[in-house]
Amino acid sequence: MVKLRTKKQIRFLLISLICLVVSIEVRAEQKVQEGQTVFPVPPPLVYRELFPCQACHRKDLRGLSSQIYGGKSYLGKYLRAPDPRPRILVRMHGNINLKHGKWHWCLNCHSTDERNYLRLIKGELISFEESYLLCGQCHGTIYRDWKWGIHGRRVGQWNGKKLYLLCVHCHDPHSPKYRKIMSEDPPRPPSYGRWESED
Amino acid sequence: MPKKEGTKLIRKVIHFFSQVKDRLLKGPPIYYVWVLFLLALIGIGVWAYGYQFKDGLAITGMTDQVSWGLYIGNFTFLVGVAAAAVLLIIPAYIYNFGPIRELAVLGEILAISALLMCLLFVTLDLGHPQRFWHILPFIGTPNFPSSLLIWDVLVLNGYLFISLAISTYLLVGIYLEKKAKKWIYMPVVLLSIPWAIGVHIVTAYLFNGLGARPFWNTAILAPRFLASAFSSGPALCIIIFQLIRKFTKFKVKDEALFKIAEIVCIAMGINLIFLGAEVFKELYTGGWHIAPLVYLFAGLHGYTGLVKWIWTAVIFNCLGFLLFLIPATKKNFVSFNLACILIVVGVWLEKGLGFVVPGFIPTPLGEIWEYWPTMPEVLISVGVWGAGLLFYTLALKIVIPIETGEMRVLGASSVQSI
Amino acid sequence: MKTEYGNAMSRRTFLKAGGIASASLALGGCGLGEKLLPGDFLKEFVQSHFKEMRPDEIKEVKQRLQKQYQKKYGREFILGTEPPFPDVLFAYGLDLSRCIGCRRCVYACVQENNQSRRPQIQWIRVLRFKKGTMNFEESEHYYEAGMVPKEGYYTMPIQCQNCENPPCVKVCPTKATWKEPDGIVVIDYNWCIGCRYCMAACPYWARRFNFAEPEIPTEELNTNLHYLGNRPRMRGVVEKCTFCVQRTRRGRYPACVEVCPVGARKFGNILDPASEISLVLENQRVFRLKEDLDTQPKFYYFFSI
Repeated sequence: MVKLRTKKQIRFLLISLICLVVSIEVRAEQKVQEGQTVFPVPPPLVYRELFPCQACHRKDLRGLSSQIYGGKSYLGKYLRAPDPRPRILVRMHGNINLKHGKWHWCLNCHSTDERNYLRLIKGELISFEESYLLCGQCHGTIYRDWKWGIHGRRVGQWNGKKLYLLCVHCHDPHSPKYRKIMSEDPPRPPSYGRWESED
Repeated sequence: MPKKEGTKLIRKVIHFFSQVKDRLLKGPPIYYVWVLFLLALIGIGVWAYGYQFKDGLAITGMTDQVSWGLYIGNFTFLVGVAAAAVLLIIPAYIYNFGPIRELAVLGEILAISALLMCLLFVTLDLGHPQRFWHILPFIGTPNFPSSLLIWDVLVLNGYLFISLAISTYLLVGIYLEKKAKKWIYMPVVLLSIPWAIGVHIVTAYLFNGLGARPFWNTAILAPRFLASAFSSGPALCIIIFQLIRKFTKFKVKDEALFKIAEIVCIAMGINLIFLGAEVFKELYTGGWHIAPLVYLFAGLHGYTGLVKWIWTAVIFNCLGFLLFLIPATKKNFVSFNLACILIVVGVWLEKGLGFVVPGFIPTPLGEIWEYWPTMPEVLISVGVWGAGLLFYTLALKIVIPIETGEMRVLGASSVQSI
Repeated sequence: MKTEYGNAMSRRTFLKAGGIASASLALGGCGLGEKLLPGDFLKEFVQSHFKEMRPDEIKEVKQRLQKQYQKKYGREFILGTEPPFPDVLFAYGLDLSRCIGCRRCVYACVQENNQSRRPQIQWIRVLRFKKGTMNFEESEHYYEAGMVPKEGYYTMPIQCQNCENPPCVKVCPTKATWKEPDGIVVIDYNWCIGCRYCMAACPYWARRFNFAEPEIPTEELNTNLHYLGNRPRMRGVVEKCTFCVQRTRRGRYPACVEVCPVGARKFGNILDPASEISLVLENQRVFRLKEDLDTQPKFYYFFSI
């Protein structure tokens, strides 16, 4: 081991450590920037059905629910302040079967207060179009391959404008294992001379 | 040219054509039966070709899996027959072996007939025969020297031309009772020998140079082609010469037949050695390259379509070889002719079915699709054989009288009556 | 943009012009020409090799073919002859660890490239192997439709590998198939004589022959055509995958790339270091089929996991 003998050395070490942290932060920032400009994506599937989430998860109506709905309606419950405790959802989103790693809870990825957005681990909000940033937090190598075009699908022009399909276009984020699909028919074996059969 | 000479020439030409007409139209009953039989075969072939003309090559048994079949198999066999004519030329003109010398022209005519059949078979195999001009120089774009098919077209047509030139020159000489000039025909005869061998080597290379097809991609292929051609071609000649001896005044000495049989025997021996060398090298080495060979001789994954045929071929070839080898049977005309037939059929099976087809089985992607020719395909092939034999028959009807001295130019000294 | 095509009038063209003139004279003379042989038939018969056509000849041929296709199928077609992009060499990647064997690519290809439905012609063949084996002979070509991916198996689609050193081009007697500067091996269907030598020479079983007149339902036709690509073929000619030349020469991805539901198919310009295919080659361990034959396929297989 090298002993740190002088204050100078300690100071140098500290400064370089700070620089490193800052640079990582800066690079993370750049990533977000890059993500916003470089990867045009087709609309996420969620836009077709439930979006905008804040149509229900409305911040402005919180606390008003019991007066409006007399404490009886389901909606009334949802208009209460969000309950951050992990639990099994029954009344709404019951169809979501969360099978994604060991960390099972909606609010790990969805923002608690701004439901139209996703939330990175650091707390930063991103739109659903940028969901690859969220996935990339854990699946680093796949994210890298996706950016290179090795993993995932692209449509459009090989030499120009193209759309990058999001992770969630193929993988259900709540249960990401690729689902089986039906394959197409096998080729017909060659027909043996038209003379014999008009198949 | 003085007027008198001119009219004399015209009279000679008219005389020649009336002779030809008489020769072709007159003959013993068996001649008419034979020609009518061949015409019937051609008729059937033309009728069957009607289907191919209408529906395309789909009426054949060929598929994307096995994309060449009976047509190319016959082509390969017949190139061998054509090339084998050289074996009659070598003893006749190089070693001056008299008895065969008289037969050499008949061999040349056989080569011409075989070449015509070859060209017919290849044309039938094309998807667009009317586009043949694309391979011609100047107006087309022949892929020369890269494509072996262009080489094959060149050597086949060249050989056709050489054979025609030699036989025409010699026959015209005999007909006009002028001594053939050695300095004229010998260089062409000498050229024809390597050319004939080249014809068959190039045809072998056509298949040989394809890395995709391990069954063909073996250095012994061209030598094997030559050996099998030099056994089947002369064996066919022996049978034909005996028929000629029986039905015409043409004299064929036993000595000549036995000499040719010796060639057949040696060539077949070499052919069998080559086959053994090939089978050993492949099977002992192993690997996926052996699949077509295994398919051919033992069947692959339960598919055994060619097994009985190739073993028939091998047994026929071995039997024929032995019959030519054993002193007692090689001088007995029954066993002698049997040996010839065994070898012709054996080599046809080996090269027609057992060579072209297994090259495609399994496909380069391992699929096994068993080829078998369809009825129209067989009938069309039969029609081509009929056309070739008819050409040969009619040619012999002119050539043999010239050779025997029955047919001579007007005013010749030694005209014999028909 | 550099054009490969359109040379000056050659001796060949001159000879051929003479041929047309004399043929039409002979036919026209007896007044039967038009009846027996329609002018288009004759023009098609004497049509030049694509690479030897002058620009005006190409234009004329395009018009004639468009007319012919419209007459046959009753639809309007756009027939292009786009030349290759400069400084582009196409290559293809296929991720075997992602392919599930659903055969979407096969049918997208059939649709895009106007392959005959009856008799059935398919340029892509998907092979299914038991895991742990890679022997073509033991692969399944005709595995039944079912839910995929199937446990215990992996699948490998095979199509034309567009070799840099293509044996099919070497053997073609008429130069009817050749490698374009962008690396695609193409066929002039009007020049192919149908000898099928290329099919014997191809180690990847990538070429198909129109043994019968191809049949395509009119409503299923793709009307965006390229002369060297997906234009409807006639009976008696060979055809094959061209990396969708009618799409890729207009900047688009091939149809099989776009349709692949698992994104196993990668395509791009190998000369552009930022293209997907270049990044695949740089970062993945790739292999090519039958490398020992030195055909140098531009079709790379890889396992990303």
